[in-house]
Formats: sequence, structure tokens, C-alpha cells
Amino acid sequence: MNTLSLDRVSVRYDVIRALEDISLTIPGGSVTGIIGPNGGGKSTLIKVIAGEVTDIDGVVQLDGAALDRSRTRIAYVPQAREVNWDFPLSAHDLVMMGLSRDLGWIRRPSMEDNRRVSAALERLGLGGMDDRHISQFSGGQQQRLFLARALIQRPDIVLLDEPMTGLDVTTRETIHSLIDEFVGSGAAVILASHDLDEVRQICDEVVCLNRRLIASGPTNATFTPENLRRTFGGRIAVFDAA
Amino acid sequence: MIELLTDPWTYPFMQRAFLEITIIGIATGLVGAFVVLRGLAFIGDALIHAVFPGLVLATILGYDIMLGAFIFGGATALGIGLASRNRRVSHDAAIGVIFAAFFAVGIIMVSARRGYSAEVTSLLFGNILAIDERDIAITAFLALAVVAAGLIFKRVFILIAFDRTLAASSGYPVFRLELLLLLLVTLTVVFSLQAIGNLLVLSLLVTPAAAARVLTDRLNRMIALSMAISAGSGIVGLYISFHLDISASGSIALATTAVFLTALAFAPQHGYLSRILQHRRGEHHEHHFHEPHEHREIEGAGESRSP
Repeated sequence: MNTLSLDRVSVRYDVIRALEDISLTIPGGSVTGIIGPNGGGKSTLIKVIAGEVTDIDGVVQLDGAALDRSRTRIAYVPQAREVNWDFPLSAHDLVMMGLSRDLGWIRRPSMEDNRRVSAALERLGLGGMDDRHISQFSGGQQQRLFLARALIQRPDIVLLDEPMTGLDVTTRETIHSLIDEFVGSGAAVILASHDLDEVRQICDEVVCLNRRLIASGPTNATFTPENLRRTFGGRIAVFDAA
Repeated sequence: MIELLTDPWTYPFMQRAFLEITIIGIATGLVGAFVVLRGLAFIGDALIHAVFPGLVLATILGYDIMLGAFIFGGATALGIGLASRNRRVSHDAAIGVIFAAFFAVGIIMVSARRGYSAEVTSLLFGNILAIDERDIAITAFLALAVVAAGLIFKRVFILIAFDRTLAASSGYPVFRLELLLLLLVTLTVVFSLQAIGNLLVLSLLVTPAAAARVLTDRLNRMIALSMAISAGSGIVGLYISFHLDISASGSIALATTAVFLTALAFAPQHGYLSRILQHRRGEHHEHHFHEPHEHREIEGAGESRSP
């Protein structure tokens, strides 16, 4: 269940090739890390799966059928620096967005929906902060707001774009335990990350991406110096020193 | 004193103007909130310029100016939508260049005709005092359609403005919805034309929503305030115009600007005055409104940087 497969997926922005001929399988009930250099297509791959980038060649399938995003529950946690924190939203508003798919076009949130939002905030240690504006949280708390939003979606697929960048220990631990929970419920968890140590620690599968697919498979087999060198080019020295 | 308020109402043309500006204000306030939240102010400006040759062409050919404006505006909205689809590159410069040119074409078409100055003045600056019942009926009909669509799609428009990726992954047709919003903006520009003019529509579309954003952090309150400020400034502008005998659309545009500047100065949280006072009192405000990244960077300091 929840096995995601990409078959010969390519994406072009104008003349720039962001992704070329990517074919891979991402199993449900496990964590898949996407690693690669900046501009290597990590975020683009996530946006292809999310359905934001639609102008693609190739196909994205879930369990052998074309991925239908109005039926599949796909959670998305953006990079913190891509978020417009000035947007007039309270914590409650932001988490409620996780129910967008269920609410459809016009249904108003019910008491039960509101209760679920508050419960999700509570779960992430932000109980009683429903009415606070999203800019009034610390960096770690802001990341937890988006995790609460993912949690409330009861997702089949979880997309995390650089979730660990610049976070305190508490929030990292929270993310790890939530990821475990998603995996336990059979979801395919996909995370793009710069943090190779973290990926090695928590990911079952690794995808090495540099516009083309360099390698993919179980972490132990794929996380080799050779693959990393081919993914990052000469810059692998930075990783070795870290 | 009370006559200052009641006097204008004794004239039927002023009654019609008050009604017209209220309808327009409600619609521009709502659509403007989406425009500001989605960061479309510049594209709104481009649409406004692109509409102008359509207006002129319709006038020359003897068609309804709204029709000409809508065709040109609609085509432009579609073009902007398609051009920005799935692209990372910002097309700001291209939009700026092309629509300045569009506008110039309109001006040349007007100037090639005799007696152009009166026409161009009314197309560019509107003439709300010359509005008749039929105009009001058309405006009301179109405004109702726009407001209904805006309210029905409110949550989805907000979702797209804040997080396109989640909107797409939740199964919404993001691209078509963005086109719909551009078309609503176009329609709003079109039915506001006769009253407020081609150029000053922007002051009703962007300024009230921007002022509302400064006044509150709450989404629904911001939208409601934007509508109230837009309609309210319209009415105040009309009073000023009546008593001082100056341009109505100019007065309305300046009334919205005055509200914006007042909000900027005195808003409870984001206003300059309250920030100065907070600073004087040495209050540590937890608010990160103006430096959202600072905190994260400090927290992230010492973390391994990307290779």
C-alpha cells in the first residue's frame, strides 16, 4: 500500500532541465530521504509529487494507478524560508488548512474540525496558542505548526522539504517521533534534506538526485562514498569533514 | 453642520454616485484583499493598463466600453496566467514593458481622433457623477457575481495564496483557480471603469486591502475591513469632491491613501506610533513581524551548513 512510483519523469523550466528521466519506486510504510546539491531538483521532485508542478513528462503513480490527489491524502511541510510568515493567519487557521481536501470548496469547519485542530496543536506542544499569529512563534515552533497541519491530514504520503534545517533538539525529536507515527500508519514519508547524517539515521531508503537519478535504494546499500561523490561532485569533502 | 452631510443627498446624481461607489467599494475591497494576499498588485496594475486600448477600440467602433475592456483584460489575464505557469523566473520586467506599450497604443488611438481630450479624460479618470440607473444596474449585477465568486472561493484563494503546494496536493486545480482570480480582478476593473476611471481603480483595489492588513493580523477581519475601507473612502471622497468641487475619482483615491497612511501611523500593532511607544517603554515584544528570519538564523547558528 501507498507505493509511489515515478516513471521517466522530466521537468523543464524554460530551457533549464530541473529533472531528467527520473524513474524510481518509493515504498509506503517507510522513510525515503532525497539528497543532492542545491539546484539538484529535490524541491522540484517534491512539488511534482504534490502536483504543484504539472507540466511534466512521464507519470506519477500510486499503487499502480495514476496518482489522484483529490483521493490521496498528501501532507506537505514546506521549507521555513519559503513561507510567508507575514500572512494574516493564526496557528489555528494554518493547521485548519490541513483539512482543505476534506472540507472541499465551501463546507465550513465543524466543531469537530475545530476540536481536531486544537488537539493537533496540543499534540505538538502548542496547546492553547490557537489564536496567535504565525509570526509570533519561534523557528522550531513554526516548524511544529506545519507538522500539526500534516498530522491532522492523516496522510498517505508525507512530503517534508528540509524539515530539519536550523532546528532545536526538542523539535527534531518531535519530528522523528511523528515520522515514526506516519510510517507506522503505512504512509510513504519522503523528505528532502541537506543533513546527510540525519538522512543516514532515519531513512530506510535514499534517493541521490542531481537533476538525474544517481542512485536509489535501501540506505545501507545506497549511502556509499562513491554514490555521494557522484551526487555532490567534488563537494563531498564538506560532508566528510562534518 | 449637519447640512454638510445631508446636502449632497438632495441631488439625484449624488445619490446615484453614493450607491455606485458603495457597490464598487464592496467588490474592490474583497477582490483587493485577495490581490494583496496573493501579491498580485503589480499584475493588477498591468491588467489596468492592458484594458485601456480595449476601451478606446470599443469607443471608436461604437461598442460598449465594458465589452472592449473585458475582452482585452481577459486576454491579458489569460496571457499572464499562461506565461507564469510552472516557471520560476519572474516576468515582472516583461509585463511592465508590454503593458506600458499597450497603454501607449491606446493613447495613440485616442489622439488620432478628433476631440479626444474629453474622451480620454473620462476613460482614464471616470465620471461617477454622470452615472445613470442603467449603469448602476450593470455594476450591481457584475459586482454581485464577483462578490459571490469571491466568497465561495475565499478559502481556496487564501490557501493558494499562502501555500500553492498544499493546494495542489489537496487536489485543487490551482492553475485554473489562479486564472479565475485574475478574471475576477479584470471584471472588477471593468465595472469600476465608468465611475472611477482606468487608472485610479488601483487605489480601490490595493490601498484599502493594504491598510486593512496593517490594521489586523486576522484574516476575516482584514477582508471585512478592506471592504469597509474601500466603500467608506469612496463615500468620504464623494463628500469631499462635492464640497470642494474637485475631481470625484481623485478625491476617492486620496481618501483611501489617507486611510492607509493613518493606519500606518496609528495601527495598534504594526503602526509606527505603537512601535515607538513600545520601544520607549522598553517592552520586549514577542512579535517577529518585521524580522521573521532573524530568530531562525540565530537558532540555526552552529548547525551544519549545506555542502
